[in-house]
Amino acid sequence: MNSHSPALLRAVRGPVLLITLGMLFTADYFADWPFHRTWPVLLIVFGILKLLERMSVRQTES
Amino acid sequence: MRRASVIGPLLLILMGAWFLVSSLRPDLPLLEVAARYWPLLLIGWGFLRLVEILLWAARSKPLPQAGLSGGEWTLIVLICLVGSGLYLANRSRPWHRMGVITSKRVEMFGQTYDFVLAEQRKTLGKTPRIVLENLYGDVRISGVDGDELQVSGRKTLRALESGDAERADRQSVVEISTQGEQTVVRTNQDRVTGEQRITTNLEITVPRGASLEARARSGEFEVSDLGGGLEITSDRSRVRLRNIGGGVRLNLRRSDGVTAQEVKGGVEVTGDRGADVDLQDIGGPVTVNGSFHGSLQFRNIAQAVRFQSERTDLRVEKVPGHLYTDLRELRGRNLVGPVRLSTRSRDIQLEEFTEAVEIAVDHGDISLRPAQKALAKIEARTRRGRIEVALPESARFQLRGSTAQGELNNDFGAALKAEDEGRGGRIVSLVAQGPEVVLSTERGSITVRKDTGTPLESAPKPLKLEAEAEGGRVRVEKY
Repeated sequence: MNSHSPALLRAVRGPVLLITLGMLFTADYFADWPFHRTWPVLLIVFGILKLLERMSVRQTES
Repeated sequence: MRRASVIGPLLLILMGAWFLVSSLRPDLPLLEVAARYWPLLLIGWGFLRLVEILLWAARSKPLPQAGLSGGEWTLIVLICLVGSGLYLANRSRPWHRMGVITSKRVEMFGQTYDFVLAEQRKTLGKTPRIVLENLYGDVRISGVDGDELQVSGRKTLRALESGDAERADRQSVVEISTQGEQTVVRTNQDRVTGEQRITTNLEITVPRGASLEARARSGEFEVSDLGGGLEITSDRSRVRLRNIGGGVRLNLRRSDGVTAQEVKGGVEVTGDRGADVDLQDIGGPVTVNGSFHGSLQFRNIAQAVRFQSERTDLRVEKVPGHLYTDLRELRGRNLVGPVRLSTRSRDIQLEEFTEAVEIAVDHGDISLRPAQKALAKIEARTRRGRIEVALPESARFQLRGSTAQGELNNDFGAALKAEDEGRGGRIVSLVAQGPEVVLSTERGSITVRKDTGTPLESAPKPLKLEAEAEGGRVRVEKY
């Protein structure tokens, strides 16, 4: 199975978001980056994953 | 298609291990560890699932629709909420490290053990210096004739087993020692290892001329008939003092209330978040620093009173009468000025004061009634609020009052002239002699009336028929 396949990217989305969430909380507790400032990173990561998914869908279609 | 994952079983194992360790080793601060390191659980979980998915993909097995199911997300949200709550609770309470949260188990499952302290005596001089270190517990200290220090009391321990309690009791023996010029009384609660909670309640009598310094975390202090000075440092205490010969200095992070009567020296109270402060018959200067959510009360203070908080700065030269303030109002009667007050939001009412008065408020009404004799300079400014001044009929003064929006009430008579200006107006003395009286508000009425001897409090509240809304003109006030 191609690593760029849309199914894989969709399946990976949850775990990647979870890891990001954990890292943001860690950054809050152990570094000086409070979660209330860094939460938009979650949106960005979600957006990037969505974008990759779209691109791979187009690739597999073409 | 739903695939079997290792995460569910792993989570179960982790939870089981956590509960097992916490019941086998109750002294370990597991809750603290969990409060701080729970985000690593999310990272580990995400990482494992990622590896699983990549493995499935590499083996060309069918992939799940979503990497994490709805149920899993719900659990994650729950973990985040509980974890953040724990972390906040952990961080906002420094005394937590003293074992308050970790000893929740002791609170729930432990038992209370009582130990009576053997009375200890030690002969000191007539004016010894005594240092007391008791972390948790109430202390009652009284000065008596003689030159002997006497310590007795009761220790309360909360522990899971009687063996723990006895060990903790042995570790926390009350000691009296001499260090140079001073005598130290220690309860040694900090030497106790493990999860027990101790409070040591002490009854101490000291020679009447003693001076005392006490350090504590929480508990009540009651000190009476002490000839020397007194200094108390505590994280959270209620303090009651009576008949103290020297100065008093109280350094309380969070006070549950301070009462002091008959102190010959000065009193200095510092606190972060304090409840009520009530000081009466104080011979020296009084300084109160910090935010107090309760009320402050000063009665018969022979020297200057100063109260300073984030928003308020108050100085009064002497308080032969009574001064009261809380977050909403400040009332004073029989004060010796100069009185200086700046604050953000309070209604102010001062009566029978002498010497100059200077008041600046952002938001609040001001009512002033100076003493009949010898009028001095008065300056009262508020941005939003009414100003009312009752002046002695015979007094000479140069009054200048102005309001940007609100009406003027001249009940004083022909010596004053009021003229409207836009939505507000000015009121001025016709003859310029005597001390200045400056009244200024940006929004609110100004009333100047003759002092007929009626106190402000008993004056009936103005009957408000406020048709002020748009025009800002019509308003009926009846006295």
